[in-house]
Amino acid sequence: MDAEIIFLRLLHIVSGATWVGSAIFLAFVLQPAMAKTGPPHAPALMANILKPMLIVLHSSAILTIVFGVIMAFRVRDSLFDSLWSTDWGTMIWLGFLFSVVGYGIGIFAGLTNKKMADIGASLQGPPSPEQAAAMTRYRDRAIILAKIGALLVVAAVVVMAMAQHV
Amino acid sequence: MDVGLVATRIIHIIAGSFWVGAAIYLAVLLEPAIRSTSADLERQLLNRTSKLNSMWITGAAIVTMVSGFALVSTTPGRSMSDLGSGGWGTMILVGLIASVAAFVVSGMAGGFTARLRRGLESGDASDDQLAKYRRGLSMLGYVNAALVIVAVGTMSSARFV
Repeated sequence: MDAEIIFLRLLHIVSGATWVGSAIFLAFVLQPAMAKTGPPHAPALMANILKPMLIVLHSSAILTIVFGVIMAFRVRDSLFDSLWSTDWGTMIWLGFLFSVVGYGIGIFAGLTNKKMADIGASLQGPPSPEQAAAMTRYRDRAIILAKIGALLVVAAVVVMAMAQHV
Repeated sequence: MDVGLVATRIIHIIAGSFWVGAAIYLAVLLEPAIRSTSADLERQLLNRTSKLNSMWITGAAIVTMVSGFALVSTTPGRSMSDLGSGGWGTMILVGLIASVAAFVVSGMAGGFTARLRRGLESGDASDDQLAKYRRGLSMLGYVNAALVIVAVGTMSSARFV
């Protein structure tokens, strides 16, 4: 039993599961449901949820990537050689690439949600037609970005899960 | 490469990740956020999201468990009779028990959600009853999240003990 690898693996997988599951849930369940609810409820909920959501998603994503990189160095002595010369390495760097790009797109989705939440928070009554149109535009953009980000993170999981079998 | 085994593993990992992440998301983010809004907004949000959440999470839990059993049966050198014996079997059994417990707790939380939704909808429930439902829902959410973390932790480390 290699306690260090087990510890790293636990941290990588638990934070990874939190990241992937939260991203899928947000992109494919919560945001579409909120879109159907519409203003003023969706922006009000988003304003409440945005800060803790960003903390959970950012911290789980960063922990996943950092512990994944450390683990890759620990399990392969010559990691940089393995990355380019073996099927395992190809899967690992592809997974790394997907996860980083997915995380980047997730950041843009968060920023777009924040713009919608800011308009929602500034409302004193029903939104004006311009405000409603802007919120709808930001909401639709955030949903698309969140879906792309979540799918890329799922792709990262798929290729990493395949790495030990190729 | 055993394509069937790899496909089952991928399905298990993705469904399991969704289950874990959604459970944590619900317990830590969504429920407290919904609680902190007005009762009217809470009612509308519960109407809009609770059945959908329940359907997705229950579906993911079932897919995770079924694909997990398939993985145990199809992994070379492993079988269901290994459960509970040796390091690997003990960890997988602990993970399985935690998963089933999480599934049950999740169902109980669904019951509290339904009662809360009905109470808010009808207006018949007293403030004390509503507060009781909210406390129950919040506590079960955290228990559920802790159980799925135990499940994923034990199962992911099983191979190494």
